[in-house]
Amino acid sequence: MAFLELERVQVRFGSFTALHGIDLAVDEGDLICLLGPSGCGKTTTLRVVAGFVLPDRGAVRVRGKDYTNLPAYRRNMGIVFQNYALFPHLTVFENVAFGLRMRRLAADEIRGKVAAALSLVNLDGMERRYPQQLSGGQQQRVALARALVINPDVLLLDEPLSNLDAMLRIRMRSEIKRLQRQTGITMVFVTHDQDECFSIADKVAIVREGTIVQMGTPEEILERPRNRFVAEFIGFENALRLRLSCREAGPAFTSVAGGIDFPASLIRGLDEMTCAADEIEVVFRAEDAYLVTPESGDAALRGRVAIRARRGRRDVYIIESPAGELKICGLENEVWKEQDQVGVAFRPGSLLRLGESS
Amino acid sequence: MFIRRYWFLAVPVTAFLVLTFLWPLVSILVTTVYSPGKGFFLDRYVKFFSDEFYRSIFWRTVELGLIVTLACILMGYPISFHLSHLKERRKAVLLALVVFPLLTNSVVRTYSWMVVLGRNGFVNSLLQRLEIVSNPIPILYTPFAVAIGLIHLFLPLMILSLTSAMENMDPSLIEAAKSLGASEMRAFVKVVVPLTLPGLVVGSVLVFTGSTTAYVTPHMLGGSRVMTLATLLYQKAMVVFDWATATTVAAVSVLVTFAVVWSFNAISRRMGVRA
Amino acid sequence: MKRPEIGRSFVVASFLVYAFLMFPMLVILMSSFDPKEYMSFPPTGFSLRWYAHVFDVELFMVGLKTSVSVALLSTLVALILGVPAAYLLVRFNFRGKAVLQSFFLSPLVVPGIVLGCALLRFFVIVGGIPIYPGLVLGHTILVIPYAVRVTTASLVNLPVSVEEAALSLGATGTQSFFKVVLPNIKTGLLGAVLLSFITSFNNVPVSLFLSGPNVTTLPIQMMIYGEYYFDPSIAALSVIVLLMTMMLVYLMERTIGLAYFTSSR
Repeated sequence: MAFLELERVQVRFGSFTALHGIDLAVDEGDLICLLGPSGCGKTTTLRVVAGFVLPDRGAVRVRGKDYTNLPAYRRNMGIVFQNYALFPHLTVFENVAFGLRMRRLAADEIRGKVAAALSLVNLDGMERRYPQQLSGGQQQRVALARALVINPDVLLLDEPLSNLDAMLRIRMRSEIKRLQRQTGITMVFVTHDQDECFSIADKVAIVREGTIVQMGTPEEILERPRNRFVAEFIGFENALRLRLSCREAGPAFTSVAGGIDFPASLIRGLDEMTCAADEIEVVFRAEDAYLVTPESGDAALRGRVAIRARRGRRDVYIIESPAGELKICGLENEVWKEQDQVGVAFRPGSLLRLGESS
Repeated sequence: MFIRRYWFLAVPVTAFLVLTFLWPLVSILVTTVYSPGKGFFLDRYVKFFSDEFYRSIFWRTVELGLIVTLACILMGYPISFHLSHLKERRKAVLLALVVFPLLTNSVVRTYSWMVVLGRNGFVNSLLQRLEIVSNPIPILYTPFAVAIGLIHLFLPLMILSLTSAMENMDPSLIEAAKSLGASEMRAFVKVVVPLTLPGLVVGSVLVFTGSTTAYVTPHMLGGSRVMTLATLLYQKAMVVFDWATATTVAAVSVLVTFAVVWSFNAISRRMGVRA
Repeated sequence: MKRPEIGRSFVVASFLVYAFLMFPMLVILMSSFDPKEYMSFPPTGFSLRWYAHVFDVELFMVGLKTSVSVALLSTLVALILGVPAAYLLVRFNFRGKAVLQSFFLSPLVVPGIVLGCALLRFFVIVGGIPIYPGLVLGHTILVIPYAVRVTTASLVNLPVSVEEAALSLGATGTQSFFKVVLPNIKTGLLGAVLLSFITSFNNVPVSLFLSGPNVTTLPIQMMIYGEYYFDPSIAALSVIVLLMTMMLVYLMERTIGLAYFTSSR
């Protein structure tokens, strides 16, 4: 039995269905990321766990105990909000002590626990400041300390890093990971940033339009995206449909559009292939291919540069080819002009077969 | 979702207003058209509007309301336009000059106009000293005095409504108009005025309904010579104890107010669709 | 953002309008120092005798006491009734919310003179309620819209997540209201008190009807006095009221900010 369970949770706001039956199981001590575009329902899921939204159907369980209709203040869950939601009228100390005071702890005990929590997030000596006097990163740490000091069963983090600048975001990521290891608290982390998600999560749930479309370890999701949505979301910008024909030499693949042959060596994930599935879908990142001259023997297909866009040190090209429009990253220090005829080459195994055709 | 648990928060105030505000008001208004003995009737209104004296008071009230509203619009626009161009500190000071009269007791404000407009007041002594007139001219207890007092009373409301609308307007629009060759005046008339119409509507409703139902100013500056619906209502209820007429006048005032609010709402809704 | 320049004609016109707004107040200030028994212009000298006289007129003192007690009581009742309702309106969405909100603000659109007349007839003449409670009742009705509106405006500025944080830390709804919400809308509430107080203190139409022996508010006393005497004591009293108003305007700028008057109208 999982530590935290959501079973077919359904939430409606008026005529809008925010969650269509979410199933989720989180093991004790795991950090699970809910990843999805804005408005997909990941925050609503978090709020169901917190007890701010009561599901219309389904159940929430912690350690097998039914939490579905338990009021938020009796759930013992720590929450870190996107805007931190520190109490503006209280000092750092009072903010962190709030949950302990609600639990009617003795003054000595409160002082000790607050000090420990603040040093856990490296904020010693800030006790008497007010939230407005702190930087964004410090406010974030106070929010973490405030949520952790009550020793919550689950720590819920709602896009906690989205208001920080890029450098700080990466630092706080590893801070949170460290806190998870140090405290062993189960965490649910909501984000729309895939880098953040895959660098921190033990498990990832991809959410789309109120359902979890895929759940697994980061490696599983990166290696086996179940469908086009997941693939696109984790950066596989190109997709091709290939038709399989079983020839004597082995299986052969031809693109549905343009009829271009692709050798099987380019494709990975073919292990359970049978000749029965006559069409497969493969995806690849812009970086998985490169441009060569049309005459080159490496060229798997040929096309014309439609658009050249700068992206950092390597340019990105939109290539019009018989197989459709492809987005390909150029090599460093290499320039192709718009309207140039080019060949597109793939590294071996760079075309990833999707788990299921959609 | 949680409304199931928290709806009770609105119960006390709703119950209070229903019992002490809505019920008395409705029951007073109903007595003007219905009584258990007689059933439904309209003869009080027929009597009110066929009486030449009452009718003249009705039209004078409406006329005063229109004049005051128009004057407030003309005086309010420049000051709001100016206010919306100021930086925070100066704006706060000048805004205080608008809010201050608004929050000053109407008796104090009206009384000060009695001092200005009275027989021995500021205006008459000035006119006499400049030898424009030899004897004091009657200004107090004329419709003119009432209008001046009402304009002074309600101008701040118009200014605040217009300023509010101007602050919602993108200031670069005026520059855009000027860069396209419009003069300051033309930019004002062609850009500022149309874009602040919603504020103008709100301000006009407040000024018109306020000035047609104000009591202090017509009472103190108009006396028994320049009666309005409000002073008539008070006189009927508290001096001659003619409650039948008093409640009819009250109902007419409410109807005028609601008619104005409703029609202005309709206008602004139509403008809202366009905007 | 740099504001564009404005034409001179608008500046001149607006200063003329400011002059119009301020002019009668300056005149009354000057007249209040006139030593003569009968006011005229220009004043004949400088004296503070009418300022002293104001405090000897018992009607004024009784009126002041009535006005202040009615204003304080009605403000208190209106806040107790209005704050929970404002909280509901800000924090929750439900069918009929807009209607309820307009209902709470509706005392603003009903002519005061009609309300006063209805309250007198209904509660005092027919209902037999004494004048003073009736007066407090009437003023409470007048002040509720301000209590609801100002409280609403300051609640909107407190993110829901702050309350949710309190709940997640183990505070019940009631605890979070008193320990988190109230301390954070203090200034807004103070603004609501000021605005409610001045609204009640300034009211004439409702007080006019609900007035009786020993229960007459200051503005009504001033109006009655002004009808019979034309000495500068009313001018002196007016200046005192003006000073009080000025102080309130200052306090309002410090609490809700005068920008309140140009927003959400």
